[in-house]
Amino acid sequence: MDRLKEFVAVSERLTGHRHIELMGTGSAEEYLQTLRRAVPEDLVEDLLATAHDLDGHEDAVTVELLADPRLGPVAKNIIVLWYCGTWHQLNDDWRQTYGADPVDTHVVSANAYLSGLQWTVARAHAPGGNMQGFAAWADRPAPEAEAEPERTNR
Amino acid sequence: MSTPTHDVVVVGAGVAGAVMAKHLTDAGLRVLMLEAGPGTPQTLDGYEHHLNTFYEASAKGPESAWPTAPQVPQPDTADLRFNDGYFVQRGPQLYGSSYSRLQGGSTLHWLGVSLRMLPEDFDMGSRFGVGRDWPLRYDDLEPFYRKAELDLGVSADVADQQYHGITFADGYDFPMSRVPMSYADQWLADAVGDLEVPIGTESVPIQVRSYPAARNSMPRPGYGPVGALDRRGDGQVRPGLIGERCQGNTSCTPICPVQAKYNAGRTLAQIDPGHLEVRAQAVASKINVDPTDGMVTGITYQRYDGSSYVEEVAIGRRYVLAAHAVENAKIMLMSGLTGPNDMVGANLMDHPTLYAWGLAPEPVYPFRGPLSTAGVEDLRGGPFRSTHAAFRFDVANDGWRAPTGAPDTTVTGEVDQGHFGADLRRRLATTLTRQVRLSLAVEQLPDPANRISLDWRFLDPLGNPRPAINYRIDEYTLAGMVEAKRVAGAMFSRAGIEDRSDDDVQKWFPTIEHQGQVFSYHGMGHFAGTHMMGDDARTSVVDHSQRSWDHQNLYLIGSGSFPTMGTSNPTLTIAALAVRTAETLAAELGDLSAGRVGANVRSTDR
Repeated sequence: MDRLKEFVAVSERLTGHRHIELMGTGSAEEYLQTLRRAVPEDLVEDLLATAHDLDGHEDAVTVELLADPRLGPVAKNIIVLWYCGTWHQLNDDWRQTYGADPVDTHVVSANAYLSGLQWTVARAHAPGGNMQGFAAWADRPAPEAEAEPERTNR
Repeated sequence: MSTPTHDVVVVGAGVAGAVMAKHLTDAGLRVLMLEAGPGTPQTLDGYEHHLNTFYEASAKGPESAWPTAPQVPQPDTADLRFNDGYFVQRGPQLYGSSYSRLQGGSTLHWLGVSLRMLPEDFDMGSRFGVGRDWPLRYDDLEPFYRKAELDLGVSADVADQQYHGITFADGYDFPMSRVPMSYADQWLADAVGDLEVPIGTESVPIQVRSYPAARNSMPRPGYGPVGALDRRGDGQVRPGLIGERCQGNTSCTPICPVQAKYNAGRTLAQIDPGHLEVRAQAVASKINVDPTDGMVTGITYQRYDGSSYVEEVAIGRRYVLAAHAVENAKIMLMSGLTGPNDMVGANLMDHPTLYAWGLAPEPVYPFRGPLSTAGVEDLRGGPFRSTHAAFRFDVANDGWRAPTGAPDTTVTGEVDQGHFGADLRRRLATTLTRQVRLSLAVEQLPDPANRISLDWRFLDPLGNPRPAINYRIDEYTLAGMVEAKRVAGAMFSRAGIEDRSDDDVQKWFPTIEHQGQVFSYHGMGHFAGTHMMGDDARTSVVDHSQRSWDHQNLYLIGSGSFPTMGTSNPTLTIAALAVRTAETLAAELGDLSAGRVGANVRSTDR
């Protein structure tokens, strides 16, 4: 459970979405499970710890986390998980070097597909689900809310 | 000779076969339908299982919700990546289209565009000196277009659709009012304004226009929309209480979740099961012909289950091939029936299609609504057709999805560049909401060298040969592509849309070069021309009623009968022709029965 909290906290910073928005997808646990199936536990721990240490130092995230050869590709994959609902198998070089990620590229689940953040950011919905209703497409949707991470209420 | 078990044997449970069966059974005839692929569920639960298949598919191509059986392989859009699919492609160009082999056919994943052909499409030969004339004119088909629009449930306003000589019967309007145009359509229409483009010797105003679609909208008085149907085990059909109106699922292809968009299963579910027997997993493999008079005596089919199959013979009073332009030709050729001058399989056509996409100067909010709700129809006709192909555009409601894989690739592109957090969110909100895309579908003329044949070196699991395709895109179509790109460019430029079309992005699409320009094209799924109709038995396969000249109790129906295809999506014309042929057949069989033994013969002679 603590691990899930840490994972969501890191995900907030990586995705630019608030805790309530991430939990609202209903996919948090599935994403964490997917991550743990794909990469070794020590890597997950290092990633969460590194991200935690960078709290309040947003400029450093790029250098310390996203550009890190071991952690960076995994952190980027977490962003894509949340936005697209898809785990992308890490590339050959990474897998050879770090000896992990046997998990093929796949849609995590029907719910993950439907709850991808890309759709809400686009003010749209996943094709085939969460439809907006007859003729809603003829109207201009409400604009996307400003994406200021919420720092309270964890 | 064996006794017929049914009045009519129909091969294929797609839109042509379903509409045919509907009108035959309405006339009291008994129909046996052979479907090569698996049956698709007629229960609501069964249909929704396919929806979940789609949700969980990694590649969400047109076929992703509709896997077929291994015994009946089918082409898949992704085959083009490695050219290793169902078709044996012999070039010089790759044929870009696909279809589905299962009950319901490709209407399970079509877009729903239900345009009528233009009057001038029916006499291209005498009017423009290219292609061929149909043995029918627009006015001959107009009443059947109305019936087809009723069968499919088409939404449009006549007021929008009277262009290029298209006429409607007095007082007619479509069953439902037009599907509302999307916010993006309305924005584009405004932004394009009063743009006119020079083409040939003319200057043509460009209009973003609603097109007729077989998707449920607001019904006109007297019409009840048909949505999802739920046929239970006891044979009772219940309306599913959903799908009577489009909900905007943005998923016409690969699957409309609520069946507000027409599929052939809806027609099949409405047919009295006492008059229609659908036999699925039954692959027609040979048409048996009496050599003395050419009459068909039965159709041999392979009924498979698991790894084995048995051969059976279907016997009717009449036979209808409604299996798809390619499959109709395949069955004929497998039976040694090649038509005059090897015309069976010849003159294969499509609408080779280009994409144009760009970034609008302000949010237009795509990824909502039916996959498209408007088109540009102004260049479907005109005097220029004596020198180059006509074309039409679809205006997409799903951003850059088709050419680039957006929005997923938009996300991965930004993340790869190191964007994250609030910055990423802001960037995506800006980009995803401004994606505009057009499909430029270009006409193709009949060419006898473009054809389906059989390749007996490549057999499917039942031992049937795979279809081989010879296909060339000619100068007429290429010159049309040049013009289509120019017109799309003029629209972008007027609307302030930054052109992002990039052939490198579509690198697995087939390409063709023309005067230094490289076009990445794809197919529209609009197969046509493999058994074309005409008024001369020496130069056509079927007559104006789609009856085989050589085999008088055999009909080949569908877009294979089209002598030319103009620019309209073929489904509505397929359906209109099917209704027309069904009425001919029903009248003929009715007369025969009445003349032979009296009115009630059909209930006693089997």
